[in-house]
This record gives sequence, structure tokens and C-alpha cells, in this order.
Amino acid sequence: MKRSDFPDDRAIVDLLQEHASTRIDARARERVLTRLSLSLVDPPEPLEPQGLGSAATQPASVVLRLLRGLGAGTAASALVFAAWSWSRPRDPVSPRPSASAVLQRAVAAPIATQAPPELKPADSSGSVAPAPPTKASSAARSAPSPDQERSLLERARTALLAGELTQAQQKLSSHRALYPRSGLAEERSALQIQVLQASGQTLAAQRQLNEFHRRYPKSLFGPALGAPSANGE
Amino acid sequence: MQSCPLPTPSEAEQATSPASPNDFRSIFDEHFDYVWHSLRRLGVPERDVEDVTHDVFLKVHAQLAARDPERQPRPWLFGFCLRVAADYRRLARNHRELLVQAEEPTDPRPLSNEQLEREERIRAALSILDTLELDRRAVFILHVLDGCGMKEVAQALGINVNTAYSRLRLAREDLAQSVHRLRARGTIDETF
Repeated sequence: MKRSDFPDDRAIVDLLQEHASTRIDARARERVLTRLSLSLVDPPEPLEPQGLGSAATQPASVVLRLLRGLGAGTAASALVFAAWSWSRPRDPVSPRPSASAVLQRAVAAPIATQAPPELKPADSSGSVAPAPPTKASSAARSAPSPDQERSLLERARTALLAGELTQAQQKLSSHRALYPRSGLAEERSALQIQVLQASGQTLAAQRQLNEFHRRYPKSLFGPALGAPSANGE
Repeated sequence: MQSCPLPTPSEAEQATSPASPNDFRSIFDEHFDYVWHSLRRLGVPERDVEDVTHDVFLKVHAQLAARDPERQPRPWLFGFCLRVAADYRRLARNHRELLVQAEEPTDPRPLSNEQLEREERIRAALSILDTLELDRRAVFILHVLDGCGMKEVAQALGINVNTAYSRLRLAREDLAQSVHRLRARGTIDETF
């Protein structure tokens, strides 16, 4: 740009460029992030049906299918039932909760406990990429809203058990986007596998399952999800 | 069983892996200030900029998977800012409020004379910028203030390069006229 051709914009440009280097109040940033979390937890209701057929309308069948997919063992059944009992809405007739209700519930939810790092996809050789060392900044980024983080996973679980698989996937994707370094990564990966199993994506589910067992060999979620395939593929 | 429009796990994980340029939290953390300032430059008043920033990032989140990671994030984000700011201004109530816009609320904390003067000058500069038509202003902001090349500007705004150059020329002419007019009225001093 030849500023000499436009002497009148020089002062304005300098001022505005200097102004752009001003840091915005961290509280405003946090407020926006909090609202984003709530918005992504409760996106607007879709106008069209989800296209998931009976899965969207027959939660019981989905639970049964999940139980079958999980091996229908006593422990698996107990675990799934406990998860269902814990996360199901208390009032099935009531409409979707408002943002403020979600916030209240998020505040009341238990604080997330520390868990192993995020499950990573296998590369072409089938090995799992080691998680890179966690940077302090990354940890700090995920730190501000652990209750909302937990709440978002709860919503994903509720959607899964209600057979609303697209909703469940959206919430898991939102969680992954908002909290890439989450301490709840193990639980999120377990839910992701369940969503894939329930939606019939068996190959993808098995691949994730193998990775899950490699990453979290002692996970409490492991037995309920099923055994890894013999060849690890 | 019906097919489910779910991303494969590898896609889902890749889209948000820490190394990915499409990591939403990285984009949010790195470019939050940029989005905020861009909205201010596009005429969103201070009192509403937080709400509008939220709306921008909602749309960014929805479109993140479609983003070409080779492209610079700022022009891409500016495209969202422009559309959301245009929607904001189109709302009748906002338009009416903008026409009768009062002075921006001042920070309640005490400021030194120098700070006050600087705030005043920035406010005046934003007011002058606000006299430009939005399309022209967008080119001016991206090219002159953000330093983007004209090809990049044209791509970000979905226009051809010649149109971008034309809008830039008109924006500068409009800006010069606004400065002269405001000087003549005594609204701004000769340093502008």
C-alpha cells in the first residue's frame, strides 16, 4: 500500500492496528466459552427426523442391542443399567432443559477425576501414536469448566441410551472439540465405541475397541465394551 | 440397519487432534481477540460484541470440518465475522439502535489522561471506519489493517480480485471524504 497516496487513512490505520493488539478481558473470553459449551450441549432441535429409524424411536431396543453387543454378561448388564439409571432424565415427559438448567446441573455434577490421556487413532501400521506430552497451556485450556465437561458427556450418554445416535455423536464431537485434552478422554472413547456399535459401524467400532484396550488395558469400561479381536485388527 | 451419518473415529479424532489446525479450542484461544476486534471494526457496538462473538464461534464450530487447513485462519474467520455482523446489522432493532447509537459505555475504572485520550481517538477511528459501506470496509480491513494479500482477500470474501481492488479504492475515497467532513465539523482534530 502506498500510504502517501492516502494520507487521510494513516492515523486511522495506525490507531486501529494498535487497538487490535489489545487483549480482550479474560472474563469475557471465559463467558463466551461457557456459553459455547452450553450451546453445543443443547443445539437447536433438528427440523427433520434423525434418519436413524427404529433406533430413534425405540430406546428399549437400543438398550437390548447394546447389551447384546456388550456380550450380555452380568457385569456388562449391571454396568449399562447403572449408567442408564444414573444418566436418564428424571422426568421423561418434561421438555429439553433450558440452558440455565443445564448449567445448574453441570454445577451440581461431580468433578472430573484424572484419567489417562486421550485415545489416539491407529496409524496405518496399526500402532497407537503415543500421546504427546501435555503442555501447561493445553491443560489450562481444558481446566476452566470441568463440570460442564462432565455434563456434556452425560448428555451424550443419555442420547445414546435413548437411541438418539446422531445427537450422541454430536455431543461427543463437541466434547472432543471443546476439550481435546480432557481428563474424561477414556470415558469419551468408551462412549464413542458404544455409539459406533449401536449404529452398526462394526468395523470402525472394533478398530476403536482394539485401540481402547491397548490404551487402557485396566479400564473399568473395558469388559462392558467387549473383547478386542484376536489379531488386533 | 440404516446408515448413520457419523464420522469415522479416525476422522473424528484427526479433526481435533492436538496437531490439527482445525482444533476448535486452538482456534478459539488463538483467535478470540481477533474475532472480537474484527467485529468491532465491522460496526458491532461494544455492548453486543460478546454475544456476536459467541454466534461467530458457533458457526465456526459447525463449519470446522470443511475448512481447508492450508488456508490462513484469519481471513477464513473474518468471513464468518462479516456474515454474522451483516446479519446483526440487518436486524431492524439493531439498525435503529445503531442510528441513534449513544456513546460507548466507558470503562468504570479510572483512566489517566493519556489513556482517556487514546480511548477517545480509537473510538473516533472506529466511528470513521463505520461510515464505510460494509462490503468496502471488509476489503479495507482485511487488506490494509490485517495485511492480507488481495488474492487472499478476494478468496475470503468470495469475490474476484478486480472487485476487491475496486472496493478498496472506493473505501479509501469514502474514508478520505469522511475524514474531511468530520474535520470540517470539528468532530475530529487535524491529527486524523
